Amino acid sequence: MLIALHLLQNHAPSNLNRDDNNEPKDAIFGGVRRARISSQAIKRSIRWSDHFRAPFETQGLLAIRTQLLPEKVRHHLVNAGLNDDDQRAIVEAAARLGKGEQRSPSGEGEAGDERGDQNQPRSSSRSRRSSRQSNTTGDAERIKTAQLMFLTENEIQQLAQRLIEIVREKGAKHLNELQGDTLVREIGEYEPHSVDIAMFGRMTTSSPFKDVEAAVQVAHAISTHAVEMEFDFYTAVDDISGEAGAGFIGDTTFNSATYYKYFSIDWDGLLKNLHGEQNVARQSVEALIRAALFAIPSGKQNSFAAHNLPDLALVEVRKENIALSYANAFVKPVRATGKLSLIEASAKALEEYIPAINERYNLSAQRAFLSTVPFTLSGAECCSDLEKLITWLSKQIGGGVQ
Amino acid sequence: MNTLFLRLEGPLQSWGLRARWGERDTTDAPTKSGVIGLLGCALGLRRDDARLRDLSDNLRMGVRVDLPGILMRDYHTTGGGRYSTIASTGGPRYHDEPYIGGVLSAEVTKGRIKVKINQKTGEPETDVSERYYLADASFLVALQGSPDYIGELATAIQSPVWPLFLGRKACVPSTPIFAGTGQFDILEDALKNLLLSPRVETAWQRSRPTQLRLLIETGPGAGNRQYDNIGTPSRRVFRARYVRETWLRLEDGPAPINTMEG
Repeated sequence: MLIALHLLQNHAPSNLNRDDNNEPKDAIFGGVRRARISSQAIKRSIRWSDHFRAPFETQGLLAIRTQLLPEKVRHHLVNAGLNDDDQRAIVEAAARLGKGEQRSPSGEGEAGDERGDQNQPRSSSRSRRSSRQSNTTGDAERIKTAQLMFLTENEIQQLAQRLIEIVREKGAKHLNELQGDTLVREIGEYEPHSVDIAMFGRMTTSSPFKDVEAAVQVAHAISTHAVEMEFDFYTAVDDISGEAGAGFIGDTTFNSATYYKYFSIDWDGLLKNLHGEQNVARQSVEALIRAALFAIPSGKQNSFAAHNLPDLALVEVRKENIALSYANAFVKPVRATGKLSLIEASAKALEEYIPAINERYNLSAQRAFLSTVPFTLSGAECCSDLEKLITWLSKQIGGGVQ
Repeated sequence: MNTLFLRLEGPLQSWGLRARWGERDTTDAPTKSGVIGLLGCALGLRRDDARLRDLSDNLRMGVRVDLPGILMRDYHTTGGGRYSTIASTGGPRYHDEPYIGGVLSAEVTKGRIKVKINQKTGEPETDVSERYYLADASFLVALQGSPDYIGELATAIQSPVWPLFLGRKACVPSTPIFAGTGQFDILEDALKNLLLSPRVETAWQRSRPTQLRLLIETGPGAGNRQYDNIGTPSRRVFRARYVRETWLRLEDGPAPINTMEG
C-alpha cells in the first residue's frame, strides 16, 4: 500500500533553497525554467519541525546521536544483580562496538581532551584500565565509543540484555575475549526502532546496527509555471557617518512561485522498519502529513517570511506500490489569467490530469482532499478541514492492513 | 513474451556511471546497473543481493531516447559538523572519529575517509556535493530474456515490493514504469514498437523528431565499453558491458500504437 500526498503551495517572494550563487534553485521542465526546492531541503525542514518531533520525542521514538553507548548500557545493569567484573566486561564490550568495522581509531590529533582521549577504547587492555578508573567516578571519566552513533533507546536496551545473557551463560572472561567480528556474531544484529530512521533511513558504518532503507520518498518540488529570477537591489545606510549615499549596496535573488510537491510513504516498508507496530506507524504517517503541510525550509525566511500554507492537499491511497507524480499536469506551464490565479489554474490542471493518467493506465486509488480553491475530483472525498482529512486517512490505513 | 518494456520518465532522473563522493554524475541514458536496481526494487532484493548479478546476466537491454532531456546540476550541502568536545590540533581527521556530520567530498587514505578541515576554524568543512540530473527526459527501455523470467518481472513491476524511482529516491516517475510486454526476435525491432507515453506524444506534436537514438547491448568488441554491468553487488563492483549506438528513422511518422497488454 502506498500513501501519496500531492500539494499545491504558493510561496510569496522568497529564496527558500539556494545554490552556490545564492540564487533560488531551478530546473527545466516542459522546456521552460521552473523554481525548485530540493528534496533534501524539504526533508530536513520536516525532520526538524515540531509537527514531526513532538509526538515522538517523549516516547523515545526518535533516534539519538551519542558516543555514550557504554554508559547507556551501564544504566541497564543496575538491577541485574551482576558482580563488578561482569559489569565491567559488559560495559567494555559495548565500548568495542561502533569503531567502524575492524578499523582502530587513529592516535593522530586527539590530544585535545586528555581524559576523554584516555577513555577511547584503543585496545582491550587500555580500556580495561580506563574503566577501572571510571569505577570510582563521575562524569569526566565516562567511557565512550570511538564513533558517534545514531541509535535508539530500544537498541541500547536490547544490546544490554544480550550482553547480560552472554555473561551469565559464558562468563566475563569469554566476553572480554570477543573482538570485532566475533563479538558482533555473538550478540547478533539490531534493527532500530525509531520513527525518523524508519521513515528517512539510516546508513551505519558499524555492526551490529543495521542499515535501514527509507520508507518515504520526497520529490523535488517544482513550480507549476515558468519563473523569472528577480533581483532585489538594496542599500544599507550608515547611521552615523553623515555622508550622503549608501554605506553598502548589494542584491538578493528571489522568486515567487506556486509549487507542486509530492511525497509518498510505503506503508509495508514503514511497518517493517517499525517491526510491525501498527500504532506507531499510523502515528508517524499522521505526523509526516502534518509536517509536510506545515514545515517550510528556513532559507532567508528572516528577510522574506514566505510562510504560506498549501492551498490544495490531495491524499491518495493505492493498493500497489506504484509511485506516480502528477508533475506532468504542468508540462505545459500554467498561466494566471484575469479570472484564475496561478494556484486556481494549477488546481484546474491537476483536476483534468488526474483522471486522464489514471484511466490511461488502469490505475485506481482512494482519494481525499483539502482545498481553499475550487477543485473537484470524481470519487474523491472533499474534507472541510485537516482533522477530517487525517481521520479519513487513518480509516483507509485500517482497511488496508486488515 | 520475451520482452519487457519500461517507460522511464519524470521531471528529474539520474543514472550515475562514475559517481564517487562529491561529484555525482549522470549519463545521458539509463544505465544497466540502474535499471537492474529498479527491477531489484520491484522484486524486493536488497542492494547487496547476489541475485542482482544473475538479473544483469540474464537480460539484454536496449534503450530508446524519446526525449533526451537537459543536464542539470544540483548544489547540495551536508552540514559541516563538529568534532564533539575534542579541540583541533590541525592534524588529519577521519570520518570514523567522533565526528558529527556527513562525509561526501573527502579523500580516502588507507581505507579510511579523511575529512576536510577548515584551517582557520579547525572544524570540518561543509561537505559540498554536486548532483547531476537529467531534467525532462523520457526513455523507453526494452529488456529481453527467457519468457519465464520476463513474466515474473512484468508481474513484479506492476506491484513492486518497494516504490520505484528513477536512479535516485527523490526522482519520482510521472508515468507508470510498466509499459507492456511483447515477443520480438531482435532487440532493435522491439524498440521500433512505437509505444509512447502521453508526455512524449504531446512533446512530439510540437517537434516531430525524424530519428531516435537507440542504445543496444551487444557483445564485446562491437560497441562502446561502459562499466555498468553488475559484478559483486555487496562490494559495488561493476563489470564491462558493450553498447552499440544507432538511430531509428521515423520517416513516414507511423501512427503511434498502444500495445499495452495490461
